[in-house]
Amino acid sequence: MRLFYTIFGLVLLFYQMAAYSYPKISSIKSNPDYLLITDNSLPIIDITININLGSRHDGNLPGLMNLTFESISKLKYEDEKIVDLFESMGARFNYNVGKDFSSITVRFINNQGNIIFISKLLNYILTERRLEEKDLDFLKEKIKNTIYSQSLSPGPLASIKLDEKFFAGTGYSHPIIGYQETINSIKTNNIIDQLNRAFNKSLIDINIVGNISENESAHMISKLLRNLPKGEKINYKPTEIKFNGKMFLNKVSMDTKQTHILIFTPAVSRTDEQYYSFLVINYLFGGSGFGSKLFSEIRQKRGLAYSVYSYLRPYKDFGILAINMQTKNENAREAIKILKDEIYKLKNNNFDPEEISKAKNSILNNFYIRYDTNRKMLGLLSQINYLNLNLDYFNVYVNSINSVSNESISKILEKELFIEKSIITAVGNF
Amino acid sequence: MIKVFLKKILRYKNISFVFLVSFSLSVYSEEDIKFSDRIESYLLPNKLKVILLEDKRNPIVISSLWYKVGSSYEAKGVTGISHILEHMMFKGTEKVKSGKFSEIIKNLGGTDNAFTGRDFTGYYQKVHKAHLEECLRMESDRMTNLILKETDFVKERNVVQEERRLRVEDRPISKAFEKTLLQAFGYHGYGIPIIGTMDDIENIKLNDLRSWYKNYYSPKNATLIIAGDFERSETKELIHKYFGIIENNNSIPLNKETESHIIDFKDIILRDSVSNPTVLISFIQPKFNYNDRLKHYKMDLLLELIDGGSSSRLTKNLVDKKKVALETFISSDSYPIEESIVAFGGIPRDGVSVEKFRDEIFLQFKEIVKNGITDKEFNSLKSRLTSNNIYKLDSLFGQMMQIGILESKKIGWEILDTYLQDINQITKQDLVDTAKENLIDKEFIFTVIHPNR
Repeated sequence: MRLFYTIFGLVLLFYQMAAYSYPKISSIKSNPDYLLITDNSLPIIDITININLGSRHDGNLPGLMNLTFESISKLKYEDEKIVDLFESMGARFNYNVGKDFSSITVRFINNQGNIIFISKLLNYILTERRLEEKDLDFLKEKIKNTIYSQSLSPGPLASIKLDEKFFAGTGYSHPIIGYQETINSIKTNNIIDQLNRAFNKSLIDINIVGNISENESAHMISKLLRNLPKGEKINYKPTEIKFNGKMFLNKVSMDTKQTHILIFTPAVSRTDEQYYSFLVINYLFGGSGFGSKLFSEIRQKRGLAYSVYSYLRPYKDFGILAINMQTKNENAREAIKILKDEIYKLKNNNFDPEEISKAKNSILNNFYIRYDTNRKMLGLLSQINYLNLNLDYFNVYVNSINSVSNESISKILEKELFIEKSIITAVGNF
Repeated sequence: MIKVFLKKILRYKNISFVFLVSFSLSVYSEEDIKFSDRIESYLLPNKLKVILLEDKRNPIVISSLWYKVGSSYEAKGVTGISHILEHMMFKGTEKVKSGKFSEIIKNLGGTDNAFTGRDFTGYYQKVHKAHLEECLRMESDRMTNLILKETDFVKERNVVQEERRLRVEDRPISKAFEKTLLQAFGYHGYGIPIIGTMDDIENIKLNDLRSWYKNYYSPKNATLIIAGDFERSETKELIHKYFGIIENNNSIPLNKETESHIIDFKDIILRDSVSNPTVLISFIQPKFNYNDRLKHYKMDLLLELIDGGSSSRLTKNLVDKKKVALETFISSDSYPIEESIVAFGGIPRDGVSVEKFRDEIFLQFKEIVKNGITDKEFNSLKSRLTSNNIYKLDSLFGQMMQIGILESKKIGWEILDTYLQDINQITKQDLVDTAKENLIDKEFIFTVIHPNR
């Protein structure tokens, strides 16, 4: 039966490759910072402006970038909140701050009037530098409430506590929204300075997906970047993480019904050529639900958790294999022991070639399903743009997965999975 | 598996393209967008309803099977049984062993999952169109051949308990909603927690699950929806091949508690792990009735006006202008087939009492009644609804869900294509009248979660 599936999968892979052509990713007017996928099947345009400045660039004011972006919610254009203007035309407007970069995203219906007006509003956001003191005070109160709220919730708290330990001494260690005391210290001039720092052409990537041509995209970009200074790129220094050299448990006590367990193990970066072997490893280990090692051991065999999974956090300079689960407090110690055992087993590569082959086929066949909406395509373009990945992404991906072998997996597990540097954080009452 | 808590899931219903005549639609026309132009619907001889929705944007197909049973069909003692059965449906048949269903789909490169709501339990697989037959084969198999074993059940019960801890027990707002609904409706209809109470999850027996399965998992009680890029005649043959042969079970009358429940409007005051006090103001929402649908649509539009976006009344006035709230929200179900609640809520700012916050919300209702609605906000409201409806077409899964929910609630997907005509009849004055009729001088449940500190 197992052999049947392997052969079956290979045949299907061939079928799929022959039948499906991937969307074309192009640089708008040959500018590598501006990427486009034209899709005329719906009258929708999605655009993301990525600013290569995230919370890790906050310096001595953790939370600064997030608060700076929150100020957009108070920005007014002709006495009307800018967010409300997007709403009035049926557009969806969002902004988000991440550790590496921040983004502004708009989804709207394609027509000439909308393109012109959206470009104008986005240009206004990028060039306007105004924030009233009373608005800043309100935003600070709101963020401080969120910070406090996260400290009362086991899931978010586990993530915060693990970041603090794992990334200690780097810009990644603090929460994106900052701390109560650092939020208190941020002044209006800090926000204005950060806006000046962030909104310049050198730090901006733009990604567009939808019912729009290259010429229209170029025109839109030129309008929305009008009068924006060229600025300077951030002096890029690779992040070095200092590890203790021994796996340890970081226990945080909280009065909850469940213990939330989160584990980070250092792995390869997204730009490392071995990344694709790691994708297959993660798939088999805990990234694919039913049948994965973690799901089988924790949920199917023992019923210890509803949700248990692993995932890759791929950054430019480093990568992380992350594991997440929750279980009732009484079972927390047993669960941690099983997770540790599974990590050690992983290091020894107990995957057989058939499993690996099945995983590769599954990942490849799932590839087009994962990018079946414009919104998902937009997310992919952002990643390609930020990490400077090949524009022939889809074919590179397929070829790279195909080239993963038992040997490449053994090699990477031996040399690039640093289990002794893992940190386990558990928040709960156990 | 995932669960659908019916809060904002159907806040925006379908609006066809009539509003968008001014837009330059080079590819789509109004006809392309209407569901009726892309749907074929029919009954198999065994009364299984089949709906085929064509969407050829990607070479993908979603096969989904919806049973008309969910938590609103349950009773005290067996709350959560629909959801537990949903979990147990992955425990295998003679042909597909326990846990293998999802593995097979996964190995084909697909994804699968299941969900339980108040009025339905659904299962779906999303695969390359070449694999539709495998999905139909396995789904039809577990419609009749599920093997329920005690050993599987013992473990899966623990999994469900963990799910309840994750979704409810450690989440103050979920607990507050659960208490509010139970106080409003008791262990009837929408008062019953979808996931069930911890006691019932602990005490449900395997035989209860067998009865539930036998009673509700029959062709006559199900809807099969195939959405995506498929070849129609071939698909119909496959459906007939795998589902046409299934016979209906003889339903067993359920011993359901029938004593009536009187709605209790007393305040609910809780203490929990929240940063600031959190408030819910819950009004009773009547059942959806097709013939009286305009009344429901008016309420939907009113809710959108009150807190559907950043420019809506509560955010604009209580958060932005008066700055008495850190945030506000609304929770409602657009197509309740039992009495439900519409809840207005939020987090007051430091120094603003929960009573003051409550009064401020009511002031907003009164303001609508007294001074009406501006053209600007009414146009913005309709523009949002229109666009949101088009955005939904980006997701095949979203379209499938919309149809499945309406079918399972016995309302029918056809309502999606007439929605625009219906809401076009609604005027600003209608929304004012709706506010007056439903939100002024009406009884409500006032729920407050105070911080533990």
